[in-house]
Amino acid sequence: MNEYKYYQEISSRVYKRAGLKLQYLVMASILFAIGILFLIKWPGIEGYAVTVITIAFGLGFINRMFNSLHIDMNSKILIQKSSLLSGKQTIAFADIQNFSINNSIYVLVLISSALALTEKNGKPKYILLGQSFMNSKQMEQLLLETEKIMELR
Amino acid sequence: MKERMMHRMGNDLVLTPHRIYNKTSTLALISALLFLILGIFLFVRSGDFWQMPLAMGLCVGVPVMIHKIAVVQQQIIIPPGKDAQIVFCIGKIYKSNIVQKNEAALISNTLNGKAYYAVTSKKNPYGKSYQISPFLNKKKTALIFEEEVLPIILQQLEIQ
Repeated sequence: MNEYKYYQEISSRVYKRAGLKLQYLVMASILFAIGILFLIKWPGIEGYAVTVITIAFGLGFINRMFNSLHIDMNSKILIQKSSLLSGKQTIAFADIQNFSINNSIYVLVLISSALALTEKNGKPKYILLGQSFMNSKQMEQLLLETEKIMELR
Repeated sequence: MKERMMHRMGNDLVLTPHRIYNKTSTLALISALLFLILGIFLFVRSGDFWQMPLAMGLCVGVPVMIHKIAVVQQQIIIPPGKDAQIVFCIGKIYKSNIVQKNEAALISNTLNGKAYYAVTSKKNPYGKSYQISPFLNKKKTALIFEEEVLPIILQQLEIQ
């Protein structure tokens, strides 16, 4: 039986992070709705500007919706894809320095991101493991489960 | 600057992570007061044009006042002794025990891209944490904190 809330064992010792798509879809829908409202109610340069900005951010959320994460305990690697348009990257466990949560507040919207700090050839790089909106507790649980799967806890 | 980040109270180490921003918030508060005075002056003299300075004074003054009371006054008190409780307090209005020293962990967090150090529980290092450093986005602040304050905190926390 799967004991994890955010991970599912898809094959022997290979874990897939649960999809967190709904929240991106909700945010994108809100932004699209605002954009369309401005387009209909206030046609003109200001209305068009708001529409373009909100649609652009909405598309950004749709792009980010397709992020994914796999933990392969057999090869001791993470396979991460941060968005639809970005490629897959493979990170060896040995390159991971630590995990952290980055909270960002944009116009009353809290975006909590779970990150892994990696270092390869002396270059530090943050890898996105997951994101949640308006709730940092989900990312706390995600990181604790990640540590547990990776046998760090 | 080090003295604004920490001081000693007997054997206790008192960390004041937001005291560094006191000067800025005082300046903002003075400008808010000036706007309010201007609003009152315009109201008395002409009976009009007072709305904008009053709104600006309130919009700046109220958040700054809350920041001064609830954020700048925050302190983390680390007493000596291995199993002592680390205490979080806001001036004299609020006080609570955070975690026992032998259960405490030091972590680096970020808020809106600005890094800071925090103290948290070893059991859940990603859960509730308490800021112990100013935001380290300025090189000078980061250097002073990491070279002069952090070693003292680690020594007081008895973390190797």
